Amino acid sequence: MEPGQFFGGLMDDYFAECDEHLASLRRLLMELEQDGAARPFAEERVRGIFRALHTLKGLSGMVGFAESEAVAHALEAWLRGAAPEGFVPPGASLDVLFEGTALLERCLHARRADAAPLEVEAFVSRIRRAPPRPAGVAPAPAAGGLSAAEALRLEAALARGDRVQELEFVPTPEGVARGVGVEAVRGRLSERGEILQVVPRVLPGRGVAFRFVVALAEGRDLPDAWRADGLSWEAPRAGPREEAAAPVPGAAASNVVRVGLPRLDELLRMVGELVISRSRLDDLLRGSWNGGGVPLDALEEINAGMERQLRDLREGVMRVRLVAVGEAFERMRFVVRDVAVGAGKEVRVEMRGQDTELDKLVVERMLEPLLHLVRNAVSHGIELPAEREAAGKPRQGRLLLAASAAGERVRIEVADDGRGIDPGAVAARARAQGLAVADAPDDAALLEILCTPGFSTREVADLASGRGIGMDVVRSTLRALGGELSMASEAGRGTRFAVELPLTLMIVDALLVRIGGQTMAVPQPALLEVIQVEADEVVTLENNEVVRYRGKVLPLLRLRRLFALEDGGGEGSGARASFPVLVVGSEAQPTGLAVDRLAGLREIVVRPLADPLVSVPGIAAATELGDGRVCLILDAAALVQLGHRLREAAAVSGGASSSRPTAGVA
Amino acid sequence: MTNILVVDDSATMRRMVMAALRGLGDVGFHEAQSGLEAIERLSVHPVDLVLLDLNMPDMHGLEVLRFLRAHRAFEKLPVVVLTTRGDEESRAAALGEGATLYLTKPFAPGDLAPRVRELLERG
Amino acid sequence: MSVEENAAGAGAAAPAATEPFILFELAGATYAVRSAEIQQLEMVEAVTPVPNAPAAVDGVVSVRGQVIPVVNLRARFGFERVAVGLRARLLVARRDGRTVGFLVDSAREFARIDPASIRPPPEGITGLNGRYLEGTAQLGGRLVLVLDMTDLFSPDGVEFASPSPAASEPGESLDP
Repeated sequence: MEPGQFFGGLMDDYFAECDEHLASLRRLLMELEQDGAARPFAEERVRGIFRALHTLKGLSGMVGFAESEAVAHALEAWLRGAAPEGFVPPGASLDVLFEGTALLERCLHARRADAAPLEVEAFVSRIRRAPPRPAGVAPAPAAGGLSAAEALRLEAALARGDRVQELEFVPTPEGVARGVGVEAVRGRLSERGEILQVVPRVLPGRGVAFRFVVALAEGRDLPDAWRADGLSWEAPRAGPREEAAAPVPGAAASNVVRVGLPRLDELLRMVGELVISRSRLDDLLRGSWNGGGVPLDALEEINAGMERQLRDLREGVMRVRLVAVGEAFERMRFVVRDVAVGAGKEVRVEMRGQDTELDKLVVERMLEPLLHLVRNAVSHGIELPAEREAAGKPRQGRLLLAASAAGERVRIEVADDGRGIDPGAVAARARAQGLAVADAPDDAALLEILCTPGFSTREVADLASGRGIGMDVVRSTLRALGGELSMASEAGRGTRFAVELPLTLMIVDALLVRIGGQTMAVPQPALLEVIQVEADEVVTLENNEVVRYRGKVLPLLRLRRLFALEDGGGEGSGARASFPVLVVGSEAQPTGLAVDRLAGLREIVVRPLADPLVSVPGIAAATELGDGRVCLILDAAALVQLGHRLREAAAVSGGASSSRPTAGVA
Repeated sequence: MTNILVVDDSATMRRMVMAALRGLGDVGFHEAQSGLEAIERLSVHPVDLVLLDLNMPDMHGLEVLRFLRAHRAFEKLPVVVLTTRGDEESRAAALGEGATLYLTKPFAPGDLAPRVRELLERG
Repeated sequence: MSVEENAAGAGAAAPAATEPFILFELAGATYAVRSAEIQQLEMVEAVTPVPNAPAAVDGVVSVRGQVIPVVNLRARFGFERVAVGLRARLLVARRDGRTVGFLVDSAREFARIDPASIRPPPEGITGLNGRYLEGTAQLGGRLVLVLDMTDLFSPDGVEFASPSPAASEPGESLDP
């Protein structure tokens, strides 16, 4: 069996883990570059880079992605040659690693998109050196001794005024079973201080003990409760100061979301409230069966309560999909460096509001458009250092990435202090291309021009920014997400692009249907099946239209009538020879929704339709179909319910052909 | 039941190894994401065989191996080193530290189980 | 009439006391609504009808990435509907976190009005429920109806069509 097939179920894990390792690589490379060769931290970072490349290579090999494996292997070999002693000599260029990391990202991106694997032979041959010497085997520190890095950390801790504490942890089967293992202890200690060293030793029998050396800041004590978990230590000597922050792992950016425990607990609490509401309902119902009557007030109260609880739960679950934009900003910073180096420019990146949260899906989809804006800013906006100096500006250009949240929307800005947009030049170019343009277009008009398909202010394709998407695609991608693009620019001073996006986003596969001249969408998960029904197969049973379906009777709901769209655009009102029916509901009790025609499958972005003025049963939300027109999204479950209620109402009002006894005749 | 400990800092890799070994029959898996955790797991669970990655943060696989071999409780424990380093020096070093078997990644899914089975039957 | 003339003719009120208003035409009369309430003015493009929505709600439209309801103000005020012309505009108003679009015949003037000069609505003004009018104001020689949008947002008193029971029955649809 092909490795890819064998490990098919683990692909999500693969991509998620690769994302983490790529984020580590980016971070370590930036740190190495900025801090220079501050040993021995540089050695630790180099080791970190090796490990990340190792794992990327190993995992990629396992799933059969030969190109990613080859790149990771080539980078590893290059690094071994460039850092024979385990650290990179000061002044050495890390460009190969930056380039290689970007290439690995693209390789993974291609695989994710099911596109053809990238050609990497050119890069691999280019960086190949003479056969590298393998790095030496990692030495074991003598028990009680500290490695160079550990010693440095100890010095730094003491200089800060932290006190140094030794503890011992002895794991037990029960402790490990309830989650208190050495890694958990490590996590706890990292929160309170800096771990300087961990050394295992064997106890008589099969037992082991781990000796931790920790630097604790002022006021950070070890809770006595920990002694019950297998930890032991002596009362600390005095000593004060600030705490060391625990490192935060990079966020995964694939189909997997990491959820913090507090959020999950919050969700569980909400579910608990719903459970309570439901059991109150249960009690009331039992009470009424016992002849107590139905207490409407209590029922209404519970109903209102459950509505609120469900809304809160829904919001809570949506919030699980929120990730901080900071991670996306870091990737943009990476790209800035790439483009700046390639174009000979000096650019400093400033960030604000990195903690602002946004739906994971929105972040992923808008990353490319934002990267385009960033590349543009660096290659076209910011001037060469000499040009900047001549204009009285600092040599280093400034690129600001800022995010802020306002209610249900998030605003992201990409602003540079470069040459700004010259309205006259753009207007002239636009006129030359045959566009009608005012003499002195304002920012909004300029943006319109820039977003006109095919408009470009550069004749020669700029390799850095010419990735095949123009401003028109940037704006349409943003609009497809429910966002909007705006721009402010001042010639000579700089340009600012602002993107407004919805906080949360839902994207579903949907079946488009035509009903009475209108196109509507039905989310695929709601569909059991779609069948074609001949008009003469429809039978009337107890005043309802039904059709034979899988040995059962399928009640039909004619959406055209339900939505009072009988006069829909001349698409043939009245009986049609055959028509499609969407089977929805439960397998045990399905309902058929009759439509006029099927109109294709589409991936749609769900836009909430919250306003009470348009809250009608059967319509869940809306979406936009390419041409800017709004298309309504049907709520299959609500339609099924509606169908039941209508049938009951019709039965009660006594249809003429009803064969059931009714209370009275209408 | 046979107890196998899978040690690798990559969660995905651990899952891949376990997937590849499922064909072995009545096997119970334990996982460790670091050398420290590997040592801990060995002390609290009965383990019949260890699959050990070398390149892990904080405690290199070879250090783990050295620690194990230095103690009576673990000196005969079968340890399969499973690593991406295919060079002779690394192999020699691992075997020198007491590895029972040295295998390289990537491995074909069908290759791992037979070799592990062989080791278990031998022991 | 220019905007400046309007403001000057509005009376002796000092400019500082005036507030900005947007003026729009509806069924032959001129209305004024506070600019602060209006997020933007849009041209009207295809409106997607929402089945069984209130009669005055023409449907929904997408504005700035948000899908908002379109209230046909003519229908809302009980005037007869007309075809959407080139000058028709959508007044996109925000209130209490809701965004709603109001369709009017045209809207292209801005004026400053001193709130103190707004007189209470006269009795029996045709076709309008008093609750939608804050009052009237004089702009030059023109009488302008100053709108209070509060109740326009409320779905109270707005009839929702009930879904036709005939949807599941064979034969002709019955009138609801």
